[in-house]
Amino acid sequence: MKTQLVMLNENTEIKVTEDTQFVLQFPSVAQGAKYSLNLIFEKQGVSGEILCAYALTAGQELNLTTLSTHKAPNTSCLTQIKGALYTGSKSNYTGKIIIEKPAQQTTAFLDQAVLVLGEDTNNISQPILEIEADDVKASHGSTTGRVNEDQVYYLMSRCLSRDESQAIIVEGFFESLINKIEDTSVAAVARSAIR
Amino acid sequence: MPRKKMKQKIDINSNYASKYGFNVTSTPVFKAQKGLTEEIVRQISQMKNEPKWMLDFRLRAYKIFREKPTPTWGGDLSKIDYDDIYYYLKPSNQEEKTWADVPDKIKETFDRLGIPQAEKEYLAGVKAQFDSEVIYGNLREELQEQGVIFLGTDDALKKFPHFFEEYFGKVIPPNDNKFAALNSAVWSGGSFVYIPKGVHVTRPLQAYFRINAQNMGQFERTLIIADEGSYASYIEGCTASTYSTNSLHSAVVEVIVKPGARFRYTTIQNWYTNVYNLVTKRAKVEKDANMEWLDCNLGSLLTMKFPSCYLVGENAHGEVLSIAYASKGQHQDAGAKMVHIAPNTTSTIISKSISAHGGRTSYRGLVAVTPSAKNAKSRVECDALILDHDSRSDTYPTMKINEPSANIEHEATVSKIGEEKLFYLMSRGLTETEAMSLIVSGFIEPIVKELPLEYALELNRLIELEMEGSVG
Repeated sequence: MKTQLVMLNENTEIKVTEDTQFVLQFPSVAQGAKYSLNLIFEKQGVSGEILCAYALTAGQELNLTTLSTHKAPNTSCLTQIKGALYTGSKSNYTGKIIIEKPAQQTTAFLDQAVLVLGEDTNNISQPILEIEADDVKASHGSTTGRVNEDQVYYLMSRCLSRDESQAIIVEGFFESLINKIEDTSVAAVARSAIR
Repeated sequence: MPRKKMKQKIDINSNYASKYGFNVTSTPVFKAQKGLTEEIVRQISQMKNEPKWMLDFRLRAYKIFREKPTPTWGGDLSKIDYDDIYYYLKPSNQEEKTWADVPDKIKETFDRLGIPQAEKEYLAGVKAQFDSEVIYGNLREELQEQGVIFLGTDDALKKFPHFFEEYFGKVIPPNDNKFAALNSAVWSGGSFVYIPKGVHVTRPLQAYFRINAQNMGQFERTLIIADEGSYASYIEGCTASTYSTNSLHSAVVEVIVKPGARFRYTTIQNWYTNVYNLVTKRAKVEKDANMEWLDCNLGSLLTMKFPSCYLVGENAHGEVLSIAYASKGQHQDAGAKMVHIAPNTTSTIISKSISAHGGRTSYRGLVAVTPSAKNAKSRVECDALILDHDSRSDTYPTMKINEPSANIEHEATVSKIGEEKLFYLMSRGLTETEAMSLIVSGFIEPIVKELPLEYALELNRLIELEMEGSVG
């Protein structure tokens, strides 16, 4: 699968012509930052992936919309979005899967996870499915939560400090996504964006 | 497997016209003019002999209804002709205590629906509403002695005005939405339930709502107060006569669950496919209390209904279990709202929907966590089955989380019946129909098992029968 780094703007639209992973980057995550991606599947049999990892610190804000629009049969799309929110940050994500009538045998999955690491955070998640074809598999999952205390306890019992433990858990949280990126130089870019 | 065959299989309400769709020619004792004016609102209030504050409440709500625009999201509401509806239709002069006293024509309706029979067998109390008014009501004596109140809302307003001054319109104010305003202006009938402190009512209380007249608007108003440490469950069923013109049903249900109490509200909504069902249901759940909405939507032309729990007390728990079935021409836009306001509150939403024969189901939900709700937890699960290629399914959940310690999960899937599952069951000697029926029963089982036995059997039987009958 080809890997493509996408610098998003307010209205990014991409037609998927061959199997591709799209790794999303943002020019800025200052207050009011607003981005959207519409991935359109018009060609039969192509697969796509939308991968995005972000970390927001005090005063930062991200408004992100991703859309996978399936118009042709036999296409597939995996969307995976992972975000970490530190004190005083805001995230607003809408992830939409649209499967139109001709797009039978489509497989679409959306997975969004937000890890809350600070106080005074705001998070809005809106995963949406609009399905008009019947022979499809479409699903989404969304979670918002803090670092699992059991995991922190386990690591601390191995002589790590609380901060070190948390850092390792956060790294693991993102690595499961970054490991999916097949191009190593793009993976490096994605990794540096969350540091 | 041939798709054509699958298409015919599940059609829950194919015998609706003969089973529920009949109508009786009952002559109402009073019928307001068609359409809605301030005059009609005054007339309703006057006929009911209401206190002045209620008339003022109605008039204020009427003004809000006129001012609020029709919502443009969800289903298509543009075809409702508010001037072509009867807002008030009084079928008889009073609420009766025994079925023998109910006017024959009306009694016949409820006999055919099996209500008196069910009352004898397993219910703690019954209210039956015919068009605008409650025409029959009864409550077992031992419950009356314990102080349980189960009355038609109009009757309760006369006998227990203090409850109304304190609670009426407080959970759902008229300016909440256009249809809550409409209900507040022209409400009539509905149930009032009060369960005293510590009283456990083990058998369900039931209300049955019936639309018999053509172009009818039914606007029942239900107020339920479960006092500290009490437990009760309430079931409502609804059906309508078969007409080609549309009717409007717009109810408001307010539930107050006091500290430590538990209340379960079950709805079996089976309106005919000419009814717009636009209902606002909300519960205020206090400390250590528990509220469950069990919501089954099988009928109606368009349903927009999102039962909600406002978790205002510590450790409060809210739950919504819902099944929606949409067939030809139907749109079920149903879901749930959970608003976490207090610490350690938890909520669960489980929604199962089936769309067939060109029907459309939508799940629309909200989970909100405010900064005061430390350690809130919520889990949402929505599954949809699409049975043929004319049908459609949507999922619109929203999660607004403004408190870092919250733990929120949402999951949704949409699929058709898996070929592998069918193949597996058929390899064990089941016919295709039996296999499909088993899979659909399994799909809705988590909710059906929570239904009172009689309803669960009915729902399962409907699905099995319809599947058997059609493949031949």
